[in-house]
Amino acid sequence: MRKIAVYGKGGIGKSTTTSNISAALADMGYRVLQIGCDPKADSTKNLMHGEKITSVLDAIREKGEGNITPEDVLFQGYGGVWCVEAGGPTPGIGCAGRGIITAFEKLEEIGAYEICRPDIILYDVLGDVVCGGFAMPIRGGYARNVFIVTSGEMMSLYAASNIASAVKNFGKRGYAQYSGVILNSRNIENEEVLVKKALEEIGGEIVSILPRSASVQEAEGEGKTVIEALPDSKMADAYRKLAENILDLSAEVENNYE
Amino acid sequence: MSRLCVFMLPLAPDYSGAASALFDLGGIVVMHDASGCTGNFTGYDEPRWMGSRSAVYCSGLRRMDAVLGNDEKFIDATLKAAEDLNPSIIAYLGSPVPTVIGTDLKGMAAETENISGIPSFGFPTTGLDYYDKGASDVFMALIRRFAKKKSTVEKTGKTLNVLGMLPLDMGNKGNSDRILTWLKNQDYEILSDFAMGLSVDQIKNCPDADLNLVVARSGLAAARFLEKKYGIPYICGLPLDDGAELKGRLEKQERFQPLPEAQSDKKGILIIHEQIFANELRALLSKKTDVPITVGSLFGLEEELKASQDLHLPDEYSAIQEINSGKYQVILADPEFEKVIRREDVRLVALPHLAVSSKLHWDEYPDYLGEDILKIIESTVREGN
Repeated sequence: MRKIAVYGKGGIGKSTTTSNISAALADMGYRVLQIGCDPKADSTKNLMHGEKITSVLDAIREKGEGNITPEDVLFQGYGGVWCVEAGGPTPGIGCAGRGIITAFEKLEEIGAYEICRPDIILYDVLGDVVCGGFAMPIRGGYARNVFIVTSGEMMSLYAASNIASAVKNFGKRGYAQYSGVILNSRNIENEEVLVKKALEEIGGEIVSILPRSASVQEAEGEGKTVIEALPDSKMADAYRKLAENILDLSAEVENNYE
Repeated sequence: MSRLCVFMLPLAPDYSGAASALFDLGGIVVMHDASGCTGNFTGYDEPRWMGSRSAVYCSGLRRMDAVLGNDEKFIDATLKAAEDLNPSIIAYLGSPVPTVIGTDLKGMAAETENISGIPSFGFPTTGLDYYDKGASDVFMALIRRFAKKKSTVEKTGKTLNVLGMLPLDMGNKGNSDRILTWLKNQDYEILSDFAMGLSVDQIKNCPDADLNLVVARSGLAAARFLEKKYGIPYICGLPLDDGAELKGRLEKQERFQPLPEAQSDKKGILIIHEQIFANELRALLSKKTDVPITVGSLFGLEEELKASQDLHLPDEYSAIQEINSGKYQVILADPEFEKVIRREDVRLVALPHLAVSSKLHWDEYPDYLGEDILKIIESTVREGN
């Protein structure tokens, strides 16, 4: 089993990238579980043909904490990928970080991992490690490898640096490893050079370079991943290559289930 | 709000059970709280505390620590204490505030162990569960961590682990010692006693036992685990009076006390106590009276130890409703239940339970292996006639 977290600045394309990785891995024959860890709960939309699924916290809100069943929060999308959204509190109130922790606890309680029996779990996590809740996906027992999506833009690299620092800080606890960045190109000048320069300070390597492509918007317009909507496109090839690289760089770990 | 106690005292929480299970281990226990939870354990739930050298600390969690996430401060303080105390283990226990802010106690333990090399544990106790769960989780973690491989040396057939022995159930008047002495008098060698007098060496050697004796529910999960992993059978029970009941079952390795069916339409007896103890008491009582006897528990019931009429009473309100339902003539329960008896025709026979009334009655426990328990039975039968 592999457990992988994808972090990165808000709006950088984490969910699009993660969903395409999930779809590519599913096409390779893996059982995949993608868990969206953003209160917006839209990580898995393109795996679900544009449909927003009920998040764990929405289900708790509607049915009460003790009444959730796996069917309420586990959904299968393209290629059999299991999709879960942690969800969040009412915007402006509540505690989003604690919400993620609650959602993770609830998934274990309802036996989600035993039902999905994934070969690979992908955690798609909100922009930055702002509190303990958003570090939950990289705590003990969860993700072992962290990949950061970035472009060559300053703010994106700054966020990547913060995330890599947070992951390294947890090194003493034997948690997830920072395993490199995914360059999601924005077509800015010397983008690869800029990212490589930043990596001299941040550490790590570029795992894959995803070119800027209209295919992404075209597929999203259909509520699909590029892998599903445009499987013969160059962009689909780029995502498949990224999925292979991630498999090469991530560690086999013990199952979450018996 | 249904779990609010209006008349009774708050019941012993999971962190008290966890701290009690760790108390004799020679480790450092850090309760991550502002001091109320530590005070609740040391002042009200742990009769061994006064005069002991057991290192139970309060982290002194404050508002800004919660805001800033000052895990390092607490880890550093713990490591400093460890330099002086040379503890066998270090354990961080949670409380309501760490639960709300999602403190990573297991992570703190991993960091502490990485730096010090001392086996360290984080137990995410919340203050919202009860003592038996806290103790049960500790027993499981200790066994998973320390138990060695089963030895290949030939067995005597008379080695035993005792699981679930805590003052929160057994009180403060020597019942645990009396039970161990009784077992030794039956020629059993006690390899480990979870958790009064427990040591890391005892835990290491526990897979070599021929049998596990579960004396309270808190030991049941560990017994099931030891059976599954090491093939050690277990039985549930404890000796009362002269121990004849248990002696027979130990010899036959009969796992559970045979449970009665509710058949009589007479007004009955309700025993509210720890489930395994209550079952043993019911067995003794049923030899003296033919009225139906129900076991009720505030802390939950194990299905396999439960007779059809037995009841989980999950909150004070449901306990009050049951006690005053008209179905019972005698309530055999902690003296604090006197406050909630509202019917003239219901009598209470006092049977302290530390997890229910903490220090108020911990010196009033009957001698489980002496005349006291017989007097309680006689009194119950007399009140019931």
